[in-house]
Amino acid sequence: MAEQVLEGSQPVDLTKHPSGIVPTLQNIVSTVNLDCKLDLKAIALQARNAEYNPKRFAAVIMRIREPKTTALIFASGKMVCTGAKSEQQSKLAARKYARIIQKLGFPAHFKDFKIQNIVGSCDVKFPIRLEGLSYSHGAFSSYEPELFPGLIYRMKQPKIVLLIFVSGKIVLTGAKVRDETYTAFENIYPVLTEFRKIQQ
Amino acid sequence: MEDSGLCRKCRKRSIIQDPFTGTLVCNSCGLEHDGTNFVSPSEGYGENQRSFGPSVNRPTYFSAVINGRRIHIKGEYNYKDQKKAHAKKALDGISSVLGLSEARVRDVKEMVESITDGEWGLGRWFSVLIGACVCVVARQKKLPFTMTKIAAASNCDVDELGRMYIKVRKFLDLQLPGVDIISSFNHAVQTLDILSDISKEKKDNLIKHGHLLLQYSVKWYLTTGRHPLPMVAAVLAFVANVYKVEVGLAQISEVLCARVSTCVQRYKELQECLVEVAGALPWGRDITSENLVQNAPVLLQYMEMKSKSKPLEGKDASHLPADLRTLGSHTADVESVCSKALDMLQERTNARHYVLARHPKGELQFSNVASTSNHENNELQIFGNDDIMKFKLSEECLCRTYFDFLNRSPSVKPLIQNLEGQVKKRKTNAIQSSLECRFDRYANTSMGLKERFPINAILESDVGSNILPPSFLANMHASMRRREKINAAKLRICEIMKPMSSFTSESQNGVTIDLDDDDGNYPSQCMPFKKKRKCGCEGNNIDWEDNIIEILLLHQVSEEEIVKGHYRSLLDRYVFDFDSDISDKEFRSYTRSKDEVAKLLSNRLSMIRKQ
Repeated sequence: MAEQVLEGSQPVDLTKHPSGIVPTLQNIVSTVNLDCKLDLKAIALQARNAEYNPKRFAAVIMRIREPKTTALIFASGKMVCTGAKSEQQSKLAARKYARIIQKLGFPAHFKDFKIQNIVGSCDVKFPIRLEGLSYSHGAFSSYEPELFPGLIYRMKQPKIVLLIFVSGKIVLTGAKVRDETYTAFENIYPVLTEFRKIQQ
Repeated sequence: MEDSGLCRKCRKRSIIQDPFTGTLVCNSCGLEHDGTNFVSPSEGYGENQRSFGPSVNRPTYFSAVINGRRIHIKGEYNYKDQKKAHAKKALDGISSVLGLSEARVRDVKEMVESITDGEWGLGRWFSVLIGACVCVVARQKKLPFTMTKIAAASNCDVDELGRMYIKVRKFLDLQLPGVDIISSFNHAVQTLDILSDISKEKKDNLIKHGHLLLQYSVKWYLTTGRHPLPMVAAVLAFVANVYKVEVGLAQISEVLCARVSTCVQRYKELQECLVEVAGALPWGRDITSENLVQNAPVLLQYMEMKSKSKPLEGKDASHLPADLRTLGSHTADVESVCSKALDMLQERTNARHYVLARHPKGELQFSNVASTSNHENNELQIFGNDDIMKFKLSEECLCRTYFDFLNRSPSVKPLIQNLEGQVKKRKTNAIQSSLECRFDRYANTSMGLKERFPINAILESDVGSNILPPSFLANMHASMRRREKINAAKLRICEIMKPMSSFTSESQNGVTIDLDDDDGNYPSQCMPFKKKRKCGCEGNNIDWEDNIIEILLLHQVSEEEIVKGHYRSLLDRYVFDFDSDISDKEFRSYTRSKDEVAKLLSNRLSMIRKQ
């Protein structure tokens, strides 16, 4: 069986993750339409967990503890939910925000929920020669150590942006579904092994 | 001129611009109005306007303030001419600050013209665009200009310039090399006044060893993913120290536009790497960062030799074929060749500080002259103190003799070639090619650096230590620390679950604890007593991290996941069970009561009334 059991009890499906490394999801960004106009001043006045400064940003910033997330609530009724660690949590958090708005006296609905971005990260546990990777994959990568310490790799298929660091840490962003993150990592892993430091 | 001001003398609204001199004069009495403030559209309210679309021949309106009133005067030049004039001024300003040659200014001008379709531009964004084009030309022509320097000349911040640079690169579809650290180094050497006073030979050696250290710093990941200039400053400061040139790191960092604190950090990192490399020398254990500079001449010679040697040394030969392993039998011959070369060397120098002595077992060893005074005639003096840098001849002589030997010994040559083939790593080809691309420019320099220090050889050379990137090491240490915390947490949990029963046997410096209990939840761990104390098992040093690790372990989270350190993510995934709907209690915690809202409103009202 293509299964490798780690030290704990959690097996890694090697058919899905041939590298044996599963990127950890760090942030999910989702949007939802509450389908009603909102009085942001009234929300900011009534909610303890909200901040509103129209001079700086035209939305109420609301936070909840479970799941620990932040939402940007606009007067149009559109809402952006960030900070969740999984798709389910993001949906749950968005529902909670909608309920809070409802309880504050607005006729909020829960319409067109959509995951907009998934950010994942992982560690390949070997140093990477960024100069070499940048040179041989110049069409996809941008490496400017004067501006940013990582190499920015824009993968075409799936359309994911990877931030690759010399320490072997990888950040994957731009996915709409988590499988895109996994596929992108499995695509890049053989490339990274080509540019790993030769351990003496 | 409809809105012209009154003449001070005749009090008539007849002020016009003189078509020849451009000054404002009264058409009625002829009084010249001084103190006027001409403001062209680009300098005044047109400052931040961009040029969109093709330029039309619109008349230019100059505005001037006379007697407190703004007047607008129709000018002779069209808008496009104005833009061009300002663009030229901006370009001249930036190029004069950076000291660009005429040819390079022409390159930048052509690039800007092609990007803007000959429309040029006005405003701050245009200076940033010129800066970005200077960046591109600097990269193309290997000029020693960094983004920091160009950003300062363009009067914008580095991030702004960087964004524009990336846009320009993308627009022109260019593949540009990275920052040229060697030319930055050379530029710094040329710029520093104090280095212009030293002798040419000393300066050449300083540059040579600076280049060598820079290349090794690339190999040791000291420049990867980091701003390159602090490393250049650190290398220059180090070699200047070695050659007893009194130049401070602050002085160098100022020339290179690098932050002093970062330069100091890089200097320390370079020292650490060199100390590690110095461990390969026979007296390497005694070398520390304090006495590194004194030992640096020998160390640099050693690294130089290693950079030229084939990557055979230090490799584990167990995986090599038997015929390659027999190479060892030829060592005696090689030694004799080396001895011959070193004899020649001995004649050329009076250096007497370190000797290469033949050990009774047949190995060549370095030792101090003082300690080897009783040695026999097979002592070979090689390294001196002050004249150590003059050994470049001896090295070449040594190499020549070595290759003569290879040519004369048909049995050794194929073995060497075969071994090279075995050792060469396929995966490093791309890296080498990229770094070759970075360094091939040095071959054209007067130093002929590529010939002297081939980057392939430097990348493959084993200088006796396995140096890893600092960020990778930091990550490794953090993982180890977390693993220790996991082990300590397991011990604590086990002690609570099975008090004292798990202590099975004693070890040398602590206790060996067998945690392999019936449940199989906690594998066996051997924990030294000291570490146990350090982890806070006995004292009350348990911190938030220990508590979280305990919780995660109790929720059957795998150790591999805990070691990654993403505690919040793990807590959300494995520990907390969120309700699907918001409870009344939770809702109340997020909202204000009616009294609170009323109080808040009254406070706000009172504040408004005060204002």
